[in-house]
Amino acid sequence: MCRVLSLLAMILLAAVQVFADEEIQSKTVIGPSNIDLYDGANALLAGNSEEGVALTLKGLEFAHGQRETKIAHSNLCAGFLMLRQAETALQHCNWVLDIDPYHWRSYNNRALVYLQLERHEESEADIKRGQELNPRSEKLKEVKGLYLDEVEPVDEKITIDDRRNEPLTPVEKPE
Amino acid sequence: MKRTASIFLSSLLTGLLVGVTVNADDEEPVLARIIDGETERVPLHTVAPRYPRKARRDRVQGEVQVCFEVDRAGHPRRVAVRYSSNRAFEKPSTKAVRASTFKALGKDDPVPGIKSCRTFIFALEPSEP
Repeated sequence: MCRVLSLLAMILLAAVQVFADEEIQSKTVIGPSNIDLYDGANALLAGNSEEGVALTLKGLEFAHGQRETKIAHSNLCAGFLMLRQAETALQHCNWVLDIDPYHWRSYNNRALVYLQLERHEESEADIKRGQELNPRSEKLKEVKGLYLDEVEPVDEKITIDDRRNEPLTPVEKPE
Repeated sequence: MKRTASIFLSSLLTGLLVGVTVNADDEEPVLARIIDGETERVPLHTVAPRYPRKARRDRVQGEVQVCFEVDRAGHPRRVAVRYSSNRAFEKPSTKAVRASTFKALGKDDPVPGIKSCRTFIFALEPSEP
């Protein structure tokens, strides 16, 4: 359960950031130009996936230009994955990546979609591609962690050793 | 994500104790292998560190040696990292040492001036299928 929650939280953050970043680019617009898209992103961020998807679909209907359309599809990818409708989410992620093959957040989201669909190789490829585009992304590291937990699970082993009191580097003896 | 740590035994190691220890964050108990030393102070309550989440996520393993003095009452003092392979493991290790206690000395017993050191080994092993 915790795993699913953290997965969803990551997608939400990715989705909303897409919106925020893109908004910054439109310097002449005061406030959101597409209110449904904006409210949809906020609803997704708040965890209201059904409302978020509904508003984003509405926002998509009235999207102006490729920029808003891309944001809508990107957020719908996240939203549908939250609703555990991975196949639908995949269509929206694919739409974004067809238009913009450098959209690292969509690789991030699609990697999670593939993970949910148990298409591990494709998930790994998307993580790799995303990290090529944005090597410092913490989100992609999180997704990679989820991927590794899925394909190569590990157990933590902590050892507490009180024996080693000798210096780590041998002390030189005086001649 | 549930964190797990397993007990593993080895008869080759002397003074081996295997115990359930309280985690430094007081969340859930952590199983850790504890190898007792031959120091003058007797451990009373050994606290295991939490495996750092990001280190686990990134599959990073490491080792930290923490040295400290133990006061008459059995509390660690002047806790400092002597060696670490990765900084991510330092804070949980020092925190665990600070939360640990040793057997108190009698009022006439001299307090040893020698520092004690404790090594924490953070390892990840493939899960059992």
